[in-house]
Amino acid sequence: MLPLGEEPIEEQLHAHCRTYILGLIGGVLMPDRTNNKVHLMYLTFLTNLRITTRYSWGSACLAVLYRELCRSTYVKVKTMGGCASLLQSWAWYHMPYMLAPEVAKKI
Amino acid sequence: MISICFQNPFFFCYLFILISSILQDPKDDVVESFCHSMTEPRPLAIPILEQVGFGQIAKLRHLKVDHALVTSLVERWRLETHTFHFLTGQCTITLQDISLQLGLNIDGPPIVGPTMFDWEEMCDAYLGVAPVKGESLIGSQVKLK
Repeated sequence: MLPLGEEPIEEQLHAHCRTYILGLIGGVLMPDRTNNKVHLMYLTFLTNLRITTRYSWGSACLAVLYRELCRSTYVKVKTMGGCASLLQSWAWYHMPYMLAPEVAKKI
Repeated sequence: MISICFQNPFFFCYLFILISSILQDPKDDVVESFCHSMTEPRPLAIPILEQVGFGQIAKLRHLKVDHALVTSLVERWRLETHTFHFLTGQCTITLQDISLQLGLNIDGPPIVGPTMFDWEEMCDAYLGVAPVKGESLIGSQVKLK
């Protein structure tokens, strides 16, 4: 990641944001079997940050999660990619009785 | 009673399953999910992240994933219908859930496009760093750290 100075110019700040978003995509939103790598095809959608928000990131995330859930149903598969945080928060939202006691206390 | 049990061929099957389930380590069946620890975003970058629509995800990055919960959900997942089969019926994750919980856009152009680019040049131009080919840049994938 590009080290950011105290007062970065706009271009540096945007480059920092692009790197951070790419990290979020590969680490939280759509991790896959490669584990610690992210495909650079997502960078083509981040070139202009003003139009990035128009793209349908939600459906892409759901498609990846569906595919990873299908893949992980096989007996030999031990790891699952996709947005597991979303799966967990979905389960908590729809089935609140499954909440762990320590989490339920915080909510 | 014992002789009836031994005459029944299914009894041995049952016995085999029982013993193997005792011998098997329960950790073997757990489906683990990939999770990466992301660093805190810089205060200057937060308004841009919010504007681009990734602000909610940046907040979610600390959520610890319960592997037991994920495993039990995977066990109830049906490939054919893309739904979870519970005793009470079927349900699935919808686009509405994504929009509400992750704050991501669910309409607009899809995330598809060409992938034939000079990635080194693109990284240099848009990320401000040129990854070393073969080390941090493998094929068209870049290492997260």
